[in-house]
Amino acid sequence: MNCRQCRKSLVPYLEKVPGAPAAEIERHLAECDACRGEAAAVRALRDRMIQLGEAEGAARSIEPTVMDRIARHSQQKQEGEPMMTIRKRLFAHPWRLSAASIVFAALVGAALILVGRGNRYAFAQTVEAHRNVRSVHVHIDTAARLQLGKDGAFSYPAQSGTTEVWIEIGEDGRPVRLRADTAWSGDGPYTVFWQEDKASVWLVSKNVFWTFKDTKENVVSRMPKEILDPNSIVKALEERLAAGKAQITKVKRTYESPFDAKVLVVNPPEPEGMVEVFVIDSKTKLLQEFEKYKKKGTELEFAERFRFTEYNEPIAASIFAPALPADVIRLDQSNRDLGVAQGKMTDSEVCEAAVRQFFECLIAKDYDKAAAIWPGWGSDALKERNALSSVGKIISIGPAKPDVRPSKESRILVPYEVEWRDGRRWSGTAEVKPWEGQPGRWVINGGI
Amino acid sequence: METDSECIRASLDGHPEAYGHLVRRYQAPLIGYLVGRLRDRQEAEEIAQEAFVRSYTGLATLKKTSAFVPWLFGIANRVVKESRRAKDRERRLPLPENVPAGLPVEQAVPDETLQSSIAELDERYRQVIALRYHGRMTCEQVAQVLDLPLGTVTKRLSRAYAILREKLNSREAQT
Repeated sequence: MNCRQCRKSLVPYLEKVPGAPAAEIERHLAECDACRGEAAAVRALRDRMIQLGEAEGAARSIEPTVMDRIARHSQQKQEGEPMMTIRKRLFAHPWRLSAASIVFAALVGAALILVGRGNRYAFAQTVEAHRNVRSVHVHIDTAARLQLGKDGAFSYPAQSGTTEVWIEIGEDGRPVRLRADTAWSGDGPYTVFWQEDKASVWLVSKNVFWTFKDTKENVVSRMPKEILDPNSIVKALEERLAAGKAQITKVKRTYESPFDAKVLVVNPPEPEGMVEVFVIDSKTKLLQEFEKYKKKGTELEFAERFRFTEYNEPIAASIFAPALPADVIRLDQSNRDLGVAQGKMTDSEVCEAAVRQFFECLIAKDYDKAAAIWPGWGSDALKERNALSSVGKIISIGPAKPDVRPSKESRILVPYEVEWRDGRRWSGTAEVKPWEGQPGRWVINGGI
Repeated sequence: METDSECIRASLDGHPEAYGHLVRRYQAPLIGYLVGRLRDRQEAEEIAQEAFVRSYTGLATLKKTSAFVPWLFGIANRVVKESRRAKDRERRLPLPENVPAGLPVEQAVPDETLQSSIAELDERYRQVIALRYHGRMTCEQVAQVLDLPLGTVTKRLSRAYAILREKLNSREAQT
C-alpha cells in the first residue's frame, strides 16, 4: 500500500467500515511517519467532533412537544376545522376579490369607507362601540409560529398555534389585568398573568411560576395593538385608505355565520401584501374577527386571525387566579430590580458589566444577586449547577459584540473565560439583552 | 428496531405513536444540523419541531420511504427560509421576550470554532456530519438513512474532514 491508497482508505479504516483494508493500513502506518501524522490529525478532529456532538446532543427531547402538536393537528382534522372551512369557501375564487376590487376601487373615497354600491358602513360606529368595551376574550390563531414574537409566515394553517387572552380594560382604554395562554413555545405551553405592575409567567413544562416587576407601560408597549385596542385596527385602516394604500371590497357571504355580520375585505393594491378581513357584528358594531391573509398574486395564504368573544362579560375570578400544582416552584423576583443598570455606560459596557458581575457573584457565592442578573433562575437553581458554583476566577470578559442572528437584533454577545476551582478553564459566549420589564437595565439571557 | 419505512407505514395506518420513534431517532442529528446553521439552539429546536410536524402531515406524499431523512432535512431547510422571511415582520406578543429569559437551559458553545467551520460546509457534508456525530450513527447507518452507497458516505466524510482541517488551521492560526 502506498501513501495515496492509505489516505484514501483512512476514513473507512477509522470508521471501522466493513471491507476497509485494516491490516494493510496498519502496516503502512507503522512504516510511514507522514501518514501516521495524517491519521493522528484525522483522529483528533474526529474526537473534537464527537465531543461537539455529545455537548449539543445532551439537551432535552422535543418529542413530547412534536407529538402533542401532531395530536392537536389530528384532532382539528377530525373536528373538520370549521373556521378554515368557512375561509376556504370565502376565498374559493380569489379572482372574484380582484375583480371586485377593481369595481369598487373607484367608490373608495379619501376618507370614506364604502362597502358595496350604495351600501355604506362607517367604521366610526365600530370605533365608538369599542370605547365601551371593558372586557374581552381574544383568540389569536396564527398559521404557524416558529418562535413567539414572530408573525407567522407559514403555509400550514392546520398547525396553527393559538394564544388566548382575557383582558380587563379600564376607563382609560388601557389594561387593568390580563392573562395570556400560549399553547406553543419552545418550552411548551405557558401562561402570562399581569396585574398591578407585576407579571407572572407559569411555565407548565418546567413547573415554574415566576413573578417579576412589570409596569403597565411595558405591558402596553409589548401587546399587539389588535388585542388591546381593536379600535387601532380600524384607525390604521382609515389612515391607509386616506393614503390610497388600501381598497375595500364587500364579499358576498357564502357560508353560515353565527351572527349577522358585515364582512369587509381590505385589498392592498400591490400584488404582494396583506389582505385584511374585518367581520363586524351588524347589531353591536363590534369587531368579531380580524384576519390577515398573505396575498401572492391571486393566491391568498392564511396568516393570522384574531377572534373577539365575550365582550363585556364578567371574567371568572379563576382566570386571573388559577389553581397551581401544589409542587409548583415559585420564584418571586417582584420585589427587586433585575439585571444591571445601564447608567452612563454604553450598551457594550453594560453587557460586559452584567457578565462580570454575574461571575463575581458566583465566586462570592452570592447566588441571590446572581439570580437577579440572570432572571428566571432561583438562587438554588444556580447553586445546584456545578459549572456555575465551581467558578473560582475570571480570566477574561468581552469584548462585547452585537448579535447578528435573525430576530436577535437587540441582543449583545459577550465572550467570557473563567477558571473553575479545580484549575480547568471554561469559555463561552453569554447573551445579554435589555430587560423589558425595567427599562434601562440589562440581563443575561443565556449562553452560560 | 423498526426501520424508517415501517414507522412511516404504521403512522400512515393510523398509529401516530410510531412517528414518535422517528422523532426520537432523528431529533439529535436534525437539531445539531440546525444549530450549526442557525447558531441558536432554541431556534434550532423550534424549527426542528416544525419540520417534524410538517413531515408528519406530508408523510403520505413521501414516495420513497427509505429516503425519509433527506426529505426531513429538506423540509427543515425550507422552514429556516420561511423563518428568515418572517423575521421581517417580527412583532411582539404579550411578554414573550420575558419568558425565555433564563428558563431554557442554554448551553455554552463548547467548540465555537469547529461549529462555525461545520456551518460553512456544503449541505451534503453537513448532513453526513449531523447524522454521524449528533445522531451517533455508524457510517453504514448514515448510508442507509440517506439512501446512499457506503462508499459515498465515507468519501463525503473524508472530504468534510479535509475541508474542516483546512478551515480550522486557518482560523486557529489567526487567533
